[in-house]
Amino acid sequence: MSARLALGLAALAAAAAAPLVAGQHLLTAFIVALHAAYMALAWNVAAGYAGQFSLGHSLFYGIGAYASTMLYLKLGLTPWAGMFAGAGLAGLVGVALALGVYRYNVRGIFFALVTLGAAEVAKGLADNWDWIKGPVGILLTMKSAPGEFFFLRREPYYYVALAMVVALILISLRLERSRLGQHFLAVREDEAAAEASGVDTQRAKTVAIGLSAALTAFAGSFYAQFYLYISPDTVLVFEPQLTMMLGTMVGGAGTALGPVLGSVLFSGLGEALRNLPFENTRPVVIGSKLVYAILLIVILIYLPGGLVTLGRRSRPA
Amino acid sequence: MVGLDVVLQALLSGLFMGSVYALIAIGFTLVFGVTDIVNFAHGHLVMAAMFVTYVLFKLAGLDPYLSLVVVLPLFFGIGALLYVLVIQRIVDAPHSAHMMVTLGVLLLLENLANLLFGGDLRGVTTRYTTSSLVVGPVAVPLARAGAAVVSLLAVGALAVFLRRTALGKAIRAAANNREGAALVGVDVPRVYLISFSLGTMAAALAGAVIVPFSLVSPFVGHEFILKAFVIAVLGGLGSVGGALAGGLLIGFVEALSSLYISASLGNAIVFAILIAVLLYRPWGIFGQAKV
Repeated sequence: MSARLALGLAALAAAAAAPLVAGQHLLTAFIVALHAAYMALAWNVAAGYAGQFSLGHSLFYGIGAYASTMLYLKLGLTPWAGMFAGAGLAGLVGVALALGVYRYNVRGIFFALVTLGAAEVAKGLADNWDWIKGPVGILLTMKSAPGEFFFLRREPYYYVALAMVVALILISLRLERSRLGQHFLAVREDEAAAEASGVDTQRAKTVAIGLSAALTAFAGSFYAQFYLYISPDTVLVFEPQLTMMLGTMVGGAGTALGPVLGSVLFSGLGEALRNLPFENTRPVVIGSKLVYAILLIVILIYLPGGLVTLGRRSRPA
Repeated sequence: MVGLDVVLQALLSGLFMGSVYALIAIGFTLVFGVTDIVNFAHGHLVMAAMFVTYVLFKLAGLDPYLSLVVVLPLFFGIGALLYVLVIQRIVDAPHSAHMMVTLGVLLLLENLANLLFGGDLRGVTTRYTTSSLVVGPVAVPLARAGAAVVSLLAVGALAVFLRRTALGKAIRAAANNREGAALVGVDVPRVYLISFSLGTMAAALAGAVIVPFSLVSPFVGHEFILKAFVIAVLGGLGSVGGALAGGLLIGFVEALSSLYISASLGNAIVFAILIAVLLYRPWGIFGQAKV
């Protein structure tokens, strides 16, 4: 245990020191990797631990992005606070969605399709909502205002992203040991058995979705502050959902480190390749995505538990 | 107020596109009904067939309908290969694995197309691309009508195949009850392979016949798979007849919503219907509850 703690602290120290040696391009790749890792960890709470395979988490990501941005633009509320408002709103929407879905006992593939549909509905509505500028999207001005979550340099964004990932790893580890986390696992492994042994499965699933939704919204707010542009076509599409799923499933769903591992491998490396010192990096970038697709298929077939199971002895299924 | 002729024109275009959507969705729902696999890559197989048809037209001057001679067997083979190399290995895995692995296939096809052709939209111009036949108040675009006729013929042929032939009956038996079918001598692995290949071929047929009037890019598959989801669910997952009705319904809804409201709002309505159906009638609007 203490060896793991020492290893964790060493990794944290290395991550904290990274901006000292990394250039701006590499730092961008690190930020992208950390952001992806955070999103994956947030999705993992519902999909990995509780087995609720949502395909609609872009909805919560979009709520986070739009909530902090609109609160800032319309009310002048600093996004540092706005992101918590976004998380609260996303959590409520998540709970409402879960209550509706579970009331009708929608499960498995049907649950995945309902959540996917919910995200599509949200995108259609956002495209037609003039108050949030519809499909045109919202541009934020680049400036230095640390109190309002605007920085000119990459380093502050890097440390914010790192802090978010570390916090969510700690939350995940804590969840694993909590009663709530045990209920999540029980629901995932065998819902009927969990119900029979006294677990309130409806409640566990609803909390899982609500918590996961709220956590995901923070990532949306971060996206808005880092890229300074949001639109239905960037935050309410399938792309963020895909990022979450790839990292989690490749690294290992239902673990606290798997989503980080998978995200760094997939999103971070992809972003790093984009900034290679060549004239034409396009074939490299697309070629690497092609390799990733093949890797994804191979890993999921031969290592269904993800990369984190590589070191472990194989357990009977 | 929109004139009656415009509405008729929209309904006609809804009928044509709906027929093509139905064929795409039937390929998807056949695969799901038999193998229990939700194939996220299905729309990208449509895209892949569009590119093959495009290349055959550009390089060999082959008309998209003539190119079916190449495209159909090719994609039956691609389906079989995909099944043997990938799908077969995850048939017994949970649904989440099905979704992730077929998403992997989707990404594979998308990035392969992007590497080979780039991200721009491309199209071909055949002699009949812009031709239309004026019938009373409406103009019938020939290329779209042709695609619809071929799609409906294929749907009919598939229905007859599933009802009348021994292999078709074996497929339906395996879809109904895998163990039971195996017990009475159905070669289930072979049936799975053939169903997946047939589903892939249906996607390819739809892709080829829309090439004369549609633009293709590596990313068009997303739209097709979303349509296939909605249609298959509306019709009841696994139901061929339901998918035909669902396809036509979505074709009409799409055509009329682009007439009266924006296309993106129409899309939101379609997905709201999807959610309502999944909650209230998960066996589909046209299907029957299975006991």
